[in-house]
Parts: sequence; structure tokens; C-alpha cells
Amino acid sequence: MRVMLVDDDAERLEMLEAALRGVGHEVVARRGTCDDLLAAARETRPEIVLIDVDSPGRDMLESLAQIHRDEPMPVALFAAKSDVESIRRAMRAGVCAYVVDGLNASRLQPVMEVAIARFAEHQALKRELDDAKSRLNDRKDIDRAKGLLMTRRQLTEEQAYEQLRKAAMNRNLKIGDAARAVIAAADLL
Amino acid sequence: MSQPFATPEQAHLTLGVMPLTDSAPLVVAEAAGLFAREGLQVQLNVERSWAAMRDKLAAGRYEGAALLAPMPLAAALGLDPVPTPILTVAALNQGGSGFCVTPDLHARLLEHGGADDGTPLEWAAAMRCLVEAERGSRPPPTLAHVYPYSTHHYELRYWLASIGLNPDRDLNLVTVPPPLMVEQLEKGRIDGAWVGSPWPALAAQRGVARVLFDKRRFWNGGPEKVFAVTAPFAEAQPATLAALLRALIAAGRWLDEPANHAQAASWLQQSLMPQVSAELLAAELKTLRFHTGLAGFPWRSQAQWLLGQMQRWQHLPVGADAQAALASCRPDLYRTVARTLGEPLPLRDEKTEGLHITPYEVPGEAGPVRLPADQLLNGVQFSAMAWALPD
Repeated sequence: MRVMLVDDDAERLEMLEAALRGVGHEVVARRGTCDDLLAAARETRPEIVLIDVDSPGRDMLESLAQIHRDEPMPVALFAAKSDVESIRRAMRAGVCAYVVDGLNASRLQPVMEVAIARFAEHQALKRELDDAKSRLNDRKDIDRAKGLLMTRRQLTEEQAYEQLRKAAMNRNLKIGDAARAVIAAADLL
Repeated sequence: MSQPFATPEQAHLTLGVMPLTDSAPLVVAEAAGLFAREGLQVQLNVERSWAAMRDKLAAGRYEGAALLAPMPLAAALGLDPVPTPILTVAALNQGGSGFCVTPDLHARLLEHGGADDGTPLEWAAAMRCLVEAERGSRPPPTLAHVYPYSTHHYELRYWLASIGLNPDRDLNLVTVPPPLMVEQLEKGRIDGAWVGSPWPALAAQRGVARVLFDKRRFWNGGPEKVFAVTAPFAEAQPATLAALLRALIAAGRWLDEPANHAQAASWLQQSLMPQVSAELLAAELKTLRFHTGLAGFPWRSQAQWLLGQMQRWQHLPVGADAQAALASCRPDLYRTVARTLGEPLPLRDEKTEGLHITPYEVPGEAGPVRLPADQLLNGVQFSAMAWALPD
């Protein structure tokens, strides 16, 4: 597996790299928190990032899988302190996986696998949601949006449809998506 | 001092803070003995990433934490999966963030119509001219915010979109946590940053950035940091929570006295930011409000505004229940405690956001409450409906 390591403790980096190499992984990048982490990830295209649990670099790398759509990758966290155990237990539902005392290969391997599995699940869920979005019953949503507009803006059905159609055109959306935007906005008010 | 309140269920607490000026209420409550006066022994743990803060609060390592206002919403929506519901029980402050750019981007903005006394909207116009002029000849500017679910991120998007820029296409937005921001600017990895105080001011002091505007000019009175606890904590420990909130309210009131800023700055420096001078922190404290104008009240209308922005940018999951997510904002818990202190409170949990050009009044539980002007971006208003259905 192609692994990127991020840690400010040079000695620990060394140990981690040796442990990973020992079980046949390739460390494609080894960085400190203050290095250009995004560039390193872009250039070396790791299959997984292993990062110190307290590193501020986490926010930069984890956000790739949250909102930014390009180049997301699984992230696993390690710490030499065993007090991370409580967090690991609590965070089972999360996107990341925690490694406790993650300095030996036998413990690293399963957690990296968990991180990758979770990441795949998360991405699949995102894709599914996107598909679901497009599969949603357009007709039903358009009718509901039209109804909302007719009541709130005192429009005829034709006028309401025309407003939706124009909104969709202006924003380069499918009319079903424009209708869902109206419904979501109405729900917030 | 006599103790008319119920004894906290738990005396020893650990709270999470970031190195930011708006952590001041927690730092002051600890250093000035306001927690101790309530029977609490509090340890502040300094975090350097919002992800770690979120995980440690949700995992129960922290009894409470200073969070970005959208974080409890993102957790409730399942965007930021945590196993335990997180509740907003108070706002910590208003003001305290700003937008700064590298000297190079600043110079290019000046070439495209920017002016140093410009309003945020005028700077946005310069940004649009620059992006259009440079398209094809150089990569778009890389602008940083601090976390996907941050006020900074949504304000940056609001600012760009106000002038017709598409943040997902016309610019490169990245996440950089506050403690790394100055270095990233210095090394030229980012061209601009929307980040909490004191980092824009520190970047300016070191000559690696110019501040274009701060939060007061963008949205005076808009949401900033909140104080959050887990739902199980709030349920199991009402007296501890009340004691925490009383201490934070007292700290906020103390912090709004300019005469206390030098002392507060010195505490902030010692406990959170040794690399920042106390003089700079004292100057920064003057740009925040902690107590007056209901600065501690967690307005549901601000949570609604943030949800509206999440919806606008399609960050809400399909079928997300926005009303359910709003339940993470708990002004009722704040009211219960503030009432026992005789604090002014609004009658309603919502107010009209971002439209007041001058100070104004809202009806209060004990007579009208005066609030500061809160105009958002020169009155360029976003409503979820207006965006869904432009004229």
C-alpha cells in the first residue's frame, strides 16, 4: 500500500516507516505538520494517510473527504499515548480510524484496513446519496414546489412552473433540482 | 461569597480551547477564579485542530469546548459523524475573525480596483475583476478557511458569491487550521485566509499579509464561536452546566471592560499563544464583544442562517431534517441560567439577521433589549428562498 506519514516527531516517523516497510508497504511521503501537505498528497497520491492524532494537519487532509470532491483519501490517526483508547472506542461511527500505540506493525495493519473500509463506505454513501438525488421523483417535487409558490406568491400553476423553469435555467440546474431547492428553502423558513 | 445555586455534580472538568482571541471567556474564567467561585476546578486543554476538538468532546474527554458555530449542526446532520449529540449552550463572542491576503494578492487586487479603505463588497468586486482578468494566465487564488463547517467558510463563500463568483469553480478553497495559517501565508501556499483573531493581525504584523476587513465590517453581530457540551452531559449534570455558564457570563461581562484587556491579553498569551505579543492581543480584544448586546445568547436564527448556507451550497445531505438539526441549538438552557443572574434576555429565540444599519431594540423578558447594528455585507442579503428562486 502507498502510505503518506505526517508527524512532527522525527524519531517516531522513522519507527513508523520502518514498521510499515517491514510488512511490505511503501511510504511515498514523510512530512511534518508544517510542510505542504496538500501538495504532497497531490503529488504522491497515497492510498492512505497516517497522521498524528493531535496534528493540525488533520483538518487540512480530512476536509478533502468532507466537502472537497477532488482527491479524497482515507485518513488513519495514530498516537503513542494509550489515552486515545477512549476516543477510538467512541469514534467507531466516524470516518477516521484511530490507532492506539500505533508504533508496531501488527497494530497498524488492521487499523489501516478499517480506515480504508470506512472511507470506501463513506464515499459509497456519498455516491448513493448523489444518485438518490437524481432518482428522486422529480414530478412529485415539482408539484410540491409549484404548490408552495402558488400559496406563498399567489401564482397560478402556469406562473409557478414558469418561475421554476426560469430559476433552473438561470442556475443551470435540472428543474427537479430547482424544485427541491425551493422545498428545502421553504422548510427552513 | 454565598452559594445560592445547586452544587455541581462534578467539580473537576476539562475544557477544550483553540489558540484564538475568542477563547478569552474560558481563559479568563479559569485565570480570574470565576470557575473556582462556582465550585469548579477546570483544566483548559489547548487543541490545534478542530477535528481533534470535535472527537475529544464527543468522546467525553472534554466536558465542554469552544467550537465553531456550525459544528454542532454538522454533527446533528451526520455530515461530521460523531457518536454523541453535541449541543450549543451559549455563544462566546461576536467579532473576532477577519480576511487577509498576501502582499502579492493585495497588490493585484489594487490593480483591479481595490482600495485600502474599501468595503468588503468593494473588495469582492476587485476579486471578481482579478479572477476574470487572470483566468487562463495563472491559477485562481487559493483562499483558506479554517474548517469545512465553519462560519469562516460560509462567510467566505457568501462574500465571493455576493459579486457573482462561484467559489467551487472560480477559486481554490482549502482548509487550514488557525495555528498554521500565518506560516501557510508566509510560504505562499495560500493567497488569502479567512481566520479567527489574532492570526490576521499577526500575519499583518509579520508582513506576510494585509488585512482587508474584519468581521465587524462584514457582519457585526454575526455568529462566531459557541460553547458546546454533549447532550448526555447536559442531561446528567444540569448544576455543573449552570455553574459553567454562570462563570462564562461573568467572564464575558468582565472582558467587555476595556480596562481589563491588558490583563486578559496577558493571560491569553500565557495560556494559549506564547508567540503573540500581549500588546497585539489587547488590541485585538477591542474588536470583540463578549457580553453586551446579548453577545452570549445562542440565537436560533443564526443557526438557521448557517443551515440556509449549508443548503445553498448543497452541503446538506439528501433528505436532511433541518428542523431536527436546529434542535442542537439550545437557547432554553442558556435562558434558564441567565435568568437566575438577572441577565437581559430576548422574548424570542429568533431575530431578523443581518439587516439593521443602526442599533435597534428587540422585545425582552424584562423590557426592550438594545442590540448593535448587524448589517451583513452592505445589506446584500441572502435568503434561502431568494437563492432557490431568483427573480
